[in-house]
Amino acid sequence: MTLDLGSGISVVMLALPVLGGLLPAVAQDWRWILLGVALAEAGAGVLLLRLWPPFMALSLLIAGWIAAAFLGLGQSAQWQRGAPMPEAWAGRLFRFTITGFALVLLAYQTENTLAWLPRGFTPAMAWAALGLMLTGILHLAMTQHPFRVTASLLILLAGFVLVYAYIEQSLLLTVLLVGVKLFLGAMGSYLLFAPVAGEGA
Amino acid sequence: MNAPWIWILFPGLVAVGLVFWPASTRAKARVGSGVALTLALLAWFLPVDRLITVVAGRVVVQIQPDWVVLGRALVLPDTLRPWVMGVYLALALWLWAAPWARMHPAFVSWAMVTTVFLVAALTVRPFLYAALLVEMAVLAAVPLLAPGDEPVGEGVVRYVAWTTLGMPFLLLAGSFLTGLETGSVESPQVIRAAALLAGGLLPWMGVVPFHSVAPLLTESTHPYRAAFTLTITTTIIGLFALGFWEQYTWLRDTPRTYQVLRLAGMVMFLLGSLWAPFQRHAGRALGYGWIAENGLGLLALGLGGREGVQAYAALMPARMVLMWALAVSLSILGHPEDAWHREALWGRAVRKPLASGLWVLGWAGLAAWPLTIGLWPRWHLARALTTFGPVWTGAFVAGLLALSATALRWLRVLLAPPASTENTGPLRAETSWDRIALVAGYALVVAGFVLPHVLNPWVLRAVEHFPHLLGK
Repeated sequence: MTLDLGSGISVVMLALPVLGGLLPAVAQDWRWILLGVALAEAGAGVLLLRLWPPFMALSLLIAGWIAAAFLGLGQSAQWQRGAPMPEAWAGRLFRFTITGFALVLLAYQTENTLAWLPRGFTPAMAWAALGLMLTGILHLAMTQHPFRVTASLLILLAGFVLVYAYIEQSLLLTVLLVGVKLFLGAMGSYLLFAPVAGEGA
Repeated sequence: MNAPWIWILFPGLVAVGLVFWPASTRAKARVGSGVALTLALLAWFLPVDRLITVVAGRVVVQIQPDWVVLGRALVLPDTLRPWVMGVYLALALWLWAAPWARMHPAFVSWAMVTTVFLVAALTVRPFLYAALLVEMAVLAAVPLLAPGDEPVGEGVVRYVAWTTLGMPFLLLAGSFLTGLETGSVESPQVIRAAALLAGGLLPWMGVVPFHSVAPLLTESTHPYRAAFTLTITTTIIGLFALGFWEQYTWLRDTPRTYQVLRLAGMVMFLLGSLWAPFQRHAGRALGYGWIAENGLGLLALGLGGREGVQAYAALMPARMVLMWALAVSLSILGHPEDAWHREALWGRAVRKPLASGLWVLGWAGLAAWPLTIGLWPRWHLARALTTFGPVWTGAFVAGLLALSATALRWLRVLLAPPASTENTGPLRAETSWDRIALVAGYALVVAGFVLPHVLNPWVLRAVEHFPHLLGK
């Protein structure tokens, strides 16, 4: 994988999975996790601007941020109720190790993944998109807490949209993706407002 | 006037209205089931894309099949009407009985929203957009599964997570498959598309290793809500999956794909049926029953061709009726404590004989006992499986025996004398309204056995939606 680090876009591509993927993995405070989601959405939005008309890319970016805000609203309510996310150092270390290892593996194998991606996909873009998807899936596998689950799904979707943007660009698709993101954020928030049975991260 | 307005836009508006209508479950259920029943009847009698004369032959109308939205189309052809009718009929049944299952008023509105999204998923073109609409349906099912005043079960979170996980795979599979209608199965692009397709359909259909979400959901939330969501979504996702086989020649003409479906179906059927008798929680047992039922659907698809699609369609009415009967009887059995573990239900038949009977009859139906709606479709499936050798038939019979054991086990639990005075407490017995729902359950389960010819015209019309699979 070669990256021109002089270009701002390349820096975004390189940093995206690290910020959007690793930050939520190591963070204990829910606000840092939310920041990771917001950064993933922002990075994906910037990259989407190269592929889609601006109003479509910005719609998705704003929808992602609103979804994150919904999620933050739900989690802050739970936090104020005195129900913080249960977390231990060992869990954070485990998540960091697994996510870091997966990202290293992806960086090593980026060229090989291109056959599975649409034509025109560059290795750097593959790193950014697949990195977000991979970290999203890994987080999903390691938690059952509604906040972390929804955050992981938003990160996964941010990466997926980058892949899908190469294949399809239509107004209906944008509307549906915006709807899915908003719905997902709202449902995550809804689950956080409700009392949770058998909660555990 | 076009068909999507009638069967998608109109019920969608009604559903949104119901969300904001501050009424009781009974009032909402009356409206919701009335609308769903009307839509089902319209789907049976109102032809699409053909001239209809109304007002004593003076006015001629033609209902167009398509509705263009934001540059894409929702297309509801005439051949899809039987499926739409089946879906709305099932919805009417679930909504009608919601008050007796003591559902929250939100159940009615969100059940309708979910169903509308699922019907829209069947009609959207290009059909790969369906993945997004199914995802919307699953997200709309969250307030249905977890009403605000109850703790959120672990199953709900996992259900949403796994379904959302499947969506990107299916969307990517759809895009990879574009232009591959007649590709070769050896082509790398086809192999990639097939892998992505499997990656999306496995979590969506709850196939191993994603099956565990069903018992978790039926245990951690009210079984009526969980059974509705699982039954309606999987049935429509099954239709969506059939669409792939209908559209892509290489999928249709590759025997290996049917072998995989048969194997996955049998594994699920055995997993569900063999695990069900060992469950101490009735809700969990229902989840395993759903896994077995879902496995039968895959097994039917695995038969391939005309036989497969007919077997799949024939299973649908039985699935809807049996899952509904099990869910409604369990809801009434567990009332008022909403406790469904074995100890809580011990000796419950004394107080709730009709609900106990319907719960056992539901399992008997899943096990293909005579006098139940489950017998005929399973009989045809068993006959078709004989062509694949004695191992398949033997495994199928073993699964049915295990389901029979589940029925007998729960019969013993419900008929046993209460273990302690705790269970003979002031439980409210079945009310007159409960009895109406339960008698309707008995009638539907038995009618499907006694009058199979009533269902046959529906099956024959439903399979017409898949002309390529029928070999036309």
